[in-house]
Amino acid sequence: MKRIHILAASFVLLLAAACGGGGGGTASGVSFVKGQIARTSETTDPVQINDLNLAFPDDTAQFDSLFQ
Amino acid sequence: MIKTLLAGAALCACLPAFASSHREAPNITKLPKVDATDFYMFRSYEPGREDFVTIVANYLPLQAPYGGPNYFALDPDALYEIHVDNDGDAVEDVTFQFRFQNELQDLALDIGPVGNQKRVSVPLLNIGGISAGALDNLNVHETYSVRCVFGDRRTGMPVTIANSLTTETTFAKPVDNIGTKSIADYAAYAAAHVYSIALPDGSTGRMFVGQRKDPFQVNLGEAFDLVNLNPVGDPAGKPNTIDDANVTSIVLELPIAFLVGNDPVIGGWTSASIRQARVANPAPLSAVANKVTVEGGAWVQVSRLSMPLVNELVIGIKDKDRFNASEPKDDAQFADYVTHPTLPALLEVLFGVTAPTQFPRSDLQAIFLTGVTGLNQPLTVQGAEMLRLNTSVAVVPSAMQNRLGVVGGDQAGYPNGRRPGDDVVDISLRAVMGVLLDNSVAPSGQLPYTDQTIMDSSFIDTTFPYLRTPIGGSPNLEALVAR
Repeated sequence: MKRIHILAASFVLLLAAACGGGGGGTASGVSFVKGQIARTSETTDPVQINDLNLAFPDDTAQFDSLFQ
Repeated sequence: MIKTLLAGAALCACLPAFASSHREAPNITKLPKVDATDFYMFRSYEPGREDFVTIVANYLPLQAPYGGPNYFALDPDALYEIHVDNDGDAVEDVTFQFRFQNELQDLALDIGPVGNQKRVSVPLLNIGGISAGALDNLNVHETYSVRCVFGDRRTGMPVTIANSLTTETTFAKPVDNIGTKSIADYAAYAAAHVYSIALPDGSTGRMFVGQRKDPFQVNLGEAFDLVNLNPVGDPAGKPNTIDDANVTSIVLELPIAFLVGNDPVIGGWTSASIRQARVANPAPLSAVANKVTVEGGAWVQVSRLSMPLVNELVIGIKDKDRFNASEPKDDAQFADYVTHPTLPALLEVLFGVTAPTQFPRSDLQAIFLTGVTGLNQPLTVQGAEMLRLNTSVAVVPSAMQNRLGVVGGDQAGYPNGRRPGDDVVDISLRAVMGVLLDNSVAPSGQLPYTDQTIMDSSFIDTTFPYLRTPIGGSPNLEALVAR
């Protein structure tokens, strides 16, 4: 279980880093959602989002790849 | 000893009441398919089944029987669970997980004259009569699969549950009670969906999932209208507001020996979860595989229910969604709502009765979280909100059950587990005002509080799955209008 938490935390940190943000920064909502769906699992814990600011572009085509 | 048990039971029942858990939190009102409404756990009182425990988890509240054409399928993108803690540590030891699937048959008709004919999909759930052996006219077949997980619900050891007679692992769920022209004998049709299931220890149980008449009885509208009734009036003086509503029930009957550890006391609760991420499809395909949404990520719990009425009228609105997402092991965060309950104060303002003055209600917290000493408290226990059942308490036949449960002298009833016929509303109203507290701290505690809608075992069947055949959508219109 501890390993899962570490993985989840790392995932969030990677998102933040990818967007140039640190603690309290803004992350890409599209990357976050796509990352979540790519990591669909029966066994992992959900990612905590209370301190996560997600930004979404107006372009809904960002998600089109999910419906192919 | 008896007084101690009664006092304990009453305190345990000091959970403000009215509607058990129908649409009880802001977020869950957006997710009716995963909204748990009631949870029951009791020793089976069907003759010959005393060595079993029946567990019922009801979902999808306030179903209008005429609610077609799609009616009330459960959510194929959700995870429904029933948990049992059998060692008092507030963590699940056995979990049954249910996943649902909808298979569209895409029934179609040839429309138009020869030479200009097109085959067109029909808009209805059925195009003819349905019975257990004849499903050709049913447009959507709802099925489900079940896993039993030992240990942590996410990382524990899963075992797929199979039909003990056929070894099949996919189970059919009956379509809802559309009406008598579609399903002439719904009771017989639904009964064909009671399955014998093989359990991992080699024993067998029974299972049913499908629509039932909502067994909960309450004067709902008046209760929420600042208790717009006479709370010490005729206990059977008002009709059951939700008498015309159905629910969807997940019912398991499991051997006591399968559920218990070294302690005859078990704790149970139900939960439902959805995927953490959901993306709506702006252009759903018109194919059978209709991707209306894409969902993924870990499971996120959005509904939780065990003892009735907790999230309904104990937890403050600001914490209701948090409670639904929480696990029993973390219940210390909600303790203030139990030690300082608000409903007695509200009743005091509304009716001029005097609320109990014992604060903090540490006795209530202890009994609520741990079970009642000598009745349903585990040998070792961590405080947590769950429905606790002492499986060693003798079964009481249906006709002899007291609707007030332990408070009425019937130790096989609520709060020692909960039977469908237990009148938890009246029990809780009396208890919350301090029926068994000393008069010095509960001067209005002896009044016979009631919501004026009576509930007892006569409203419940005497055999599995206990809950009654759902109300049909047709031909009930005249009866509904007459109400």
